[in-house]
Amino acid sequence: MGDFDAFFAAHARPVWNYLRRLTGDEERAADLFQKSFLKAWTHFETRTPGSEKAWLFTIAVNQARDEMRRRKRDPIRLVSPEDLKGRAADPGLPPEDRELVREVLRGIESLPEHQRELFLLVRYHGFTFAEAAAVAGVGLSAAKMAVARAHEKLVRVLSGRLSLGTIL
Amino acid sequence: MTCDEYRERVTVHLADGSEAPGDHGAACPECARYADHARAAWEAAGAVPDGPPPPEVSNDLLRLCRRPRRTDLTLLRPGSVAAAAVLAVAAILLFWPAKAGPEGRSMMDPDGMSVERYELPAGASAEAVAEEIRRLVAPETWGEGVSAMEVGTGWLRVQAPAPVQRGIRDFLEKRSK
Repeated sequence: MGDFDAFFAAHARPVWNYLRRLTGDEERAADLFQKSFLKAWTHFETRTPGSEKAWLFTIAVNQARDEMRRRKRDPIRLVSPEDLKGRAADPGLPPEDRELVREVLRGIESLPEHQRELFLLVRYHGFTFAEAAAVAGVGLSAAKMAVARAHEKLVRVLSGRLSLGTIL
Repeated sequence: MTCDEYRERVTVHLADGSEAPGDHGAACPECARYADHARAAWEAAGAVPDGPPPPEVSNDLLRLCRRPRRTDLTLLRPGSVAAAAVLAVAAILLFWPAKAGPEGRSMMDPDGMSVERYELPAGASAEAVAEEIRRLVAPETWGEGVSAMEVGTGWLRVQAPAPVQRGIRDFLEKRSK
């Protein structure tokens, strides 16, 4: 297996899931996924060993920003939980969890773009705040604030479902 | 500590275990309740399932990435004459007139690249459209030896990977509206 094949095998799944959640659209995610890896392949020799994940996610974030700027007119479409379930590692998702997934996706969809970028990096992809800030090209405190605001919005969206009463 | 600062610390603590949120919650029942919700929402977000990319998406991409990179070509040449010869042969193969297929149909290479011809609306400047495409559709691929374009009178012929061809079709469709 070549270097790039190994790199692809290691990062394809997380980048795919990141782009799918970020765009809420499988077709757009597929396009961005291919463009991101194509760019990574083109510039593969310039990567810094040990920082490949952050390097690749930076490419993916920038590709997504470019694409979203071009498509600003189009509303973001939510991936249906049925689609997600079809591709899930655990296909036995009970109906109540499916409803929860729907609510979470609705919450993620409602986030402003920069909050969504950072929240996904930190919540799903194991980036520290400092790493996520570097990937998104923002300062550390701005990254923390963006993730906290995103989280707060998600709390509000989910508060009814979490059976903990409403919050102010 | 303000409520906003406390709530931000709750998130940071949930995300990376650092920065204990502090005892603001003991004096502020609303924030104490928020901390419970925040924990539950953080965990609930983990319920969103994960999955692999569709095989066709990965396979198309990997086929494309098995081509030699532009930078790899330097390994083949003993000198600039050899490089020029390689480029000349590539140009002939790419733009040989006999290769043009029926209008609107693509000539697929086995490795996922295709050559497509795009007819432009009457009066459109092919050079200007080509420049817009290079700037707006996968700009990183044009200078890297991945995508290439030939400009004619009223038409463009493009060799590029499938996602770039799709981008060009979308671009031209939107441009014509």
